[in-house]
This record gives sequence, C-alpha cells and structure tokens, in this order.
Amino acid sequence: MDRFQDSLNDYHSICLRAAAERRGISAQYATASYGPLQPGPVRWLNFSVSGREYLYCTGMLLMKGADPWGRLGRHVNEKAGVLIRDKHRAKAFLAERGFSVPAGRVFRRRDVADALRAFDDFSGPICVKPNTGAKGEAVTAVIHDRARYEAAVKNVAADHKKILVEQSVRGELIRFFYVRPAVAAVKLSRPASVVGDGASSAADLIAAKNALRDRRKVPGHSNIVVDDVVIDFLAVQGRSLQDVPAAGERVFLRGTSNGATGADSLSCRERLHPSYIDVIGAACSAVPGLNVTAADVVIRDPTVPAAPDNYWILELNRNPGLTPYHFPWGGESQDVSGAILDMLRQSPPDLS
Amino acid sequence: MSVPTPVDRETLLNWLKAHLAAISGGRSEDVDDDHPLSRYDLDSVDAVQTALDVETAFGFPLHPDTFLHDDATVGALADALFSAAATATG
Repeated sequence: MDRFQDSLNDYHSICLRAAAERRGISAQYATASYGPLQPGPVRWLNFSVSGREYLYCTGMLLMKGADPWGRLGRHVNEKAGVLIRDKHRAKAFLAERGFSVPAGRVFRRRDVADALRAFDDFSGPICVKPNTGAKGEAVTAVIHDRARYEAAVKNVAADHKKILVEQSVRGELIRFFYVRPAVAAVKLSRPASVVGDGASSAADLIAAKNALRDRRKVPGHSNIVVDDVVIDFLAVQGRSLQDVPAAGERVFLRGTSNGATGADSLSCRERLHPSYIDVIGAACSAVPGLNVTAADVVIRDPTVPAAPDNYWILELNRNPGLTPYHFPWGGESQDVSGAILDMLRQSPPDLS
Repeated sequence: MSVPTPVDRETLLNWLKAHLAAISGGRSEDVDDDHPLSRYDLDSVDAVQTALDVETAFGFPLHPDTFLHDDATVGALADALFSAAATATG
C-alpha cells in the first residue's frame, strides 16, 4: 500500500484527506508506531497546516513533534486527556459548572461487591459501562432488574478496572461535534432498530435491513449483529426475534447508539432547538485543552429549549470519528473534517 | 516543568503508598511493599494522572506506562521511581 492509497479500514482518514484536498493541502500516508510502548495505530495521514505538521488515524489527531513521553506527537486534546478519558470525572467536572449529567458512581474492580450493592441506590433504570470504554463495548443500558444489573456489572469487571454505574436517561442520543470554540455539526445516533411491516418477523426485518446496508454501503454503518445482547434487549421489552412488529412500528434492538453496534446516523439540526448548540458548545469550551470532541448527549425532547431536566451529557469523546457526519444514513452531509482543518489554520491549539 | 530535586527511596515509597491509598479509597498503612499493582486496579487514566502527580511532586518526568505493569510490586515501583529520580537529578 503506497503513501497515496486510502484504506477502507480507516474511513475517517479518507474524509479528512478529501477535505484537505479541497483546501489545497497535501496529505499522504505514513507508517509509524505511536510510541515505544504503544505499537499501534501504525498508518497515519500526514499533512501540514500553517507550518505545523499533523498526523491523523481513526479519530486521533496529533501535532507532530517533541513529546515528553517519546510518542509521535502531542494529542490535539492532550491537556484535556486525563479528564475526558475518565467518564465519571468528566461528568463531575461538568456538573460542577452547571451542566446536566446523569447521576452515577464509579467503582474499582476490587470493590465489585459495593458496585453490586449500588443497585438499591437507584430508583429508576440503570446503565452500566466501563469508565474508560469506547464504541459501546460492555455497555448495558435500561436495566430494571437485579439479575441483569449483576450480570452487567460482572461483565464490565471481567475486562475493565473501573465500573461506571449511572442513571439510565431516556431520550434521543444526539452527538455534537465540537471544534473549538463552537459546535460544528450535530447528528442523531439512533440505536440499532427495525421498522415493522405487519408481516415480517423481527429476525426477517433485521436480515432485510442488513441487506439494505450491504446494498447502500454507507461508510460508518455496520450491519446489525444478532447476539445475546439483542436477544436480551428484546426479552426485556417482552419480545423475541420471532415477533411480528406492527406496520410502521419501530423496534429497538440495542441500548447503545454507536455505529459499530448497528446504529443509524441521521442529520437532525432542523428539529433540534438551537439552544442545545449553545449549551453543549459552552460545556466543551469549559474543559481546558479540549479542542476537538464529540459530545454524546441524551435529549428527552430536542424540539424544546435546553433545560436541566431535558438533557444529559453522557461523555466527551477524545478521538471522535468523522465518517458518520460526512456519510449519514439519512440527511445532509456535514463537513466536520473541513471544520478541523479550518481551526488548525486559523487558530492552531497550544499543545506545549 | 518543575526542577527535579534529590529525593530518597523511602520518601518515594511513602508518597506512592499514600497515592495508591488515596485513589483506591483505602489507608496508606494498608498498602504493603509486596502488594502487586493489580491489587489497586490502576487504569490508563490513573497511570497518566499518577505520572503527572509524580512530576508535580518531585520534578522528574515518568512515562505513564510505568504504572500499568500489574505484576510489579509497590516496592519494585518505588525502586523504579527512585531510579528515574536519580537519572533526572544526575
């Protein structure tokens, strides 16, 4: 693979390279280890803006140059890294500044017994996830019963050192792509779902949707995998794969909203009250050193103005993907890659 | 960056025990030299924070991965910190 050839394994880099090309910025691929003790990722998009050299791979943007720990460069969110990688800490930081977040607690694996007892502290549905996880891994949302809760806690503890237990908030998950100093794009992340036709079973509807996925080949949209999580999620709703949903009825298959778990990305600015753009922009701007992120926010009713009981910030992503904004399942494309390049040109972040 | 100052192993060991106790919600006197780091469930965020805290407290840089070797004991980690401190202060 040469230095000009895109890889379909990293469509985010393809989006950024195309945006760079539109701006007359030369970008090539280079192979390198991230750092002495972190061998991957290995293939980077390399480009220069306003005399500074950058490297990009699957959501991670580095400013090339001297790094105290011997890595290829400094992360664009270097100074915010410790805060935003810790989901619980990030939410506490935002709550202290008046932004709305779900109530929750974090437990170390050694304190798993305390985590299991915390079930009784919640009056409504619970979400259990790793405190530093990504892409929806090991996330169990909308837990109502103790057995599912215990299984979810043990599932996280098996592979992660910290377990985050929090209020499972209900609403639509909207992802705000932020490029300092403002929100550059918004999209609705709809969990894996199918719409009934009054005749087909849920299993057949999933197969049909996957066939549509295969035909349309929209980057960033994975097929829906039928696994124990899907079967369990349906069972909690009193349903199964053999059920025949009514015509027009949408049946949700997972509680997570990540593209990797079969979610749909949809543009939503036209029905989002503009106050959310300001609130989430202010929340991101409040985090020192946060320059490029995607804020995951659950909004009960996106059409009404932002209020503490109508939205909850779930997390701020350190390495936000670009592809679903450029290639939504439905709606207009949004040029988040261009917004990043424009920021690097007009006001490059101070990462020293 | 702070200027590194000479520091002895005992000081580093005591600091490390207090730090592990603080982040894991225990008591410093319960942290034993022979305990493996795995006992304290440090993740990558803790590792970065601990490296930054070492630099703030003693003035020498340390790679965060130093704190991700689960099999290393608290005593061995104090040795590693002492070695890094000695290198930094010449």
